[in-house]
Amino acid sequence: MEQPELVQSLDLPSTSSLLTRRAACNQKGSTKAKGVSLEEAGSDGSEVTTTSSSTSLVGGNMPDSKVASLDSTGMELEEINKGNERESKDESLYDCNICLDTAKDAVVTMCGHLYCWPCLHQWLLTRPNNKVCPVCKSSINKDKVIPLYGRNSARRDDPRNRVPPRPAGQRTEPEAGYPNFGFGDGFFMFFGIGGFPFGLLTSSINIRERRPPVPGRYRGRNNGQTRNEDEQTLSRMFLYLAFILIAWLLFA
Amino acid sequence: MANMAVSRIKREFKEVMRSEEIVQCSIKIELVNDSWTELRGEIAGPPDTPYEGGKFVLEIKVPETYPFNPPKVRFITRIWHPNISSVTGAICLDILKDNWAAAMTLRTVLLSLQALLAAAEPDDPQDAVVAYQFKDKYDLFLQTAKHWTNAYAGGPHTFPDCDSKIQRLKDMGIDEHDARAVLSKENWNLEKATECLFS
Repeated sequence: MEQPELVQSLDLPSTSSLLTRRAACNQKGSTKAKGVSLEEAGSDGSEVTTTSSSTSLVGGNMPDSKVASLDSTGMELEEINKGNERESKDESLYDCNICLDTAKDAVVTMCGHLYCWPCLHQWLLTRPNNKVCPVCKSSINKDKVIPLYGRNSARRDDPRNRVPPRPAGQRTEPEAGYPNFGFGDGFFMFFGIGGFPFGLLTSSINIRERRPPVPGRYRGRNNGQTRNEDEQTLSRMFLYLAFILIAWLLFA
Repeated sequence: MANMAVSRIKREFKEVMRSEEIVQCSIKIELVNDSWTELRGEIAGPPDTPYEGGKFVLEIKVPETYPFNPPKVRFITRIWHPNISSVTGAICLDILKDNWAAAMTLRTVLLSLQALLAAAEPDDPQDAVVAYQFKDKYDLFLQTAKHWTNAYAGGPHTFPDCDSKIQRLKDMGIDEHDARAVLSKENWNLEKATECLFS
């Protein structure tokens, strides 16, 4: 709903702010593309007033004396514009995807879909085992939705506390299958049968595998690269050790 | 919550009314009672299917927990389709069950049902008899589906052969719908149908 604000910022007499807002609604209700009508309104103040010609006002800078005539026809106009406002609201870009009303306590998911926090919370409660975005079915998480604070939103208390900067939309498939047999970063668990040297061999081969980079975790710290190099040297050492052991087993 | 269900249905109702599908007459929706909990939908049979030219009426019941739970939808118009019960009109469609999402609307539900008519899923049937015919005797399935569309949904294709067989059973004192159902089930074999009815 930034359009009314933009129009209001034009240098029109203060009493006309109500009118300009209506005018903006009129424009939005028309079939013109949103961007175009906004530009027209912004380029010239008189354009805004002429669109509301039904109020019998002549365009240009509105003299205060003529504002009175606006009030006489105001009631009727208000009713018409209420309808328009309603209609433009229906087409709003900022409607909650669940209640279809303008989002209150707005939150956005990592996949970029907007909801009222109460609506989304209710949805998550309804499907505790299958937490997916109602729009795109991407997996979502209570801790990973981002609250949105508009300029005039009075309530600043966060439904969930941390507010990371808004990221670009990222889509992840819902988790399926078994989790990895691993504990976080840098530790792998193995199941195997075999004597000591073979066990050692498997582990050294596993260590050689490049680990996928962990997003976010080491970003911003420089030791990530050196760590990796250290590990590679270490793994090579173990591999050589394993070969020596095998050779020893064969020839002994 | 019930309040939310009603306000959402009202919005969706408007959405359907303004949608281009209504202009093309492919979907329709109307109110049944004033409490907005029950509606009647109508979808046109999609082109290039045996349902083409038919109008299928649906019963839509909106639960109190809508939109967090799906609306209950059922065909009122009888239809011969693997995923729709030929007896009760119950629908087997994932989005009306587990795959429902709160962002879906009456419009998307109606369009999904239209898509279901165009793309049957015989491996996940609601009506096993129809599904079997679909897989085993596809030509006969097409004929039966067209015949049902003609008989119940105002479709254009008539099959004098089917009509005469139904008439024969009617002459024996069988209700027309029952006669049609049994004949369809028995692949339009009059003898088997008679046997089935009188045994």
